[in-house]
Amino acid sequence: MEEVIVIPCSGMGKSLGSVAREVAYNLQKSRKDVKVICLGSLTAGVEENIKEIKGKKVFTIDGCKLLCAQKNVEHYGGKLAESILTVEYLKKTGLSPKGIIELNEDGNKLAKIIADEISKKIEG
Amino acid sequence: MGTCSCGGDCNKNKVGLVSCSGEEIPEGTIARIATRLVLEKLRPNESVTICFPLFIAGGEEDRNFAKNYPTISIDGCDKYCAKKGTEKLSGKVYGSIEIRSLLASKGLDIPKEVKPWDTPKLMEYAEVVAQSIAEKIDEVLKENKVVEGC
Repeated sequence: MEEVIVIPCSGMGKSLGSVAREVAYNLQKSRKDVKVICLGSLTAGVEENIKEIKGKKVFTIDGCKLLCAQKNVEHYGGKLAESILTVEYLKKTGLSPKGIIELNEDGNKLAKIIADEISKKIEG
Repeated sequence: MGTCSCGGDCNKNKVGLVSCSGEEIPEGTIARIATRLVLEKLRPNESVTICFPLFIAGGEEDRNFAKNYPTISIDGCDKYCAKKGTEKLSGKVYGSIEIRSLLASKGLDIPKEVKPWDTPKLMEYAEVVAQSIAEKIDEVLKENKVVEGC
């Protein structure tokens, strides 16, 4: 089983950042081949994590169109397998995530839906 | 609190918070929650934040954050990503908090079985850290009362 890297944005100011973070944790809990790494470690230039994103497939999950997770991975030449944008799932699902410290029920539901979709993508 | 010597609403009356949010470790979750608690409850009028990864993903305005605000970095571990990243990409931080050391100094240890997604279990620690951030904000604002170039 090939390990893949998942990097959520964890946006400080938006519920969809919390959704992105929760998606990553859903994947980490449900799959042994997923490793979550800190996005901030890339921003800070932590060598061991930069090496990891260059050697393994990376799935980024962003909460907004600024695409911080995707852009940080691209900045260091990471092996980007797929960039997921949580906001694109709002219309599709009709869910209204709220809360940053703790997500409401819709936020958790949305995180589960996105995690399931990424899980399928990981399996190819 | 935080009235500037110029009498205006300048940036120096707010303190910037840059949190690591470290997804890999419980302390990262604490950093993120603590920062939000300060922004939402403890010092809503005296604090601002930015998504730390914007220092790479964003524009010049984002990278000027630590130049525009006296900034406190909040890190989950001794890699000091928020502090080092801010100083490398934005500007010198005014103060920094490292959660493991802070909690240890208060006799608090996060149990090893606690995972970064166990938000309810981490709330108690986050409240302790949030209080320390708020105190640091007060110190920064007190020191910044006379603002150079304002």
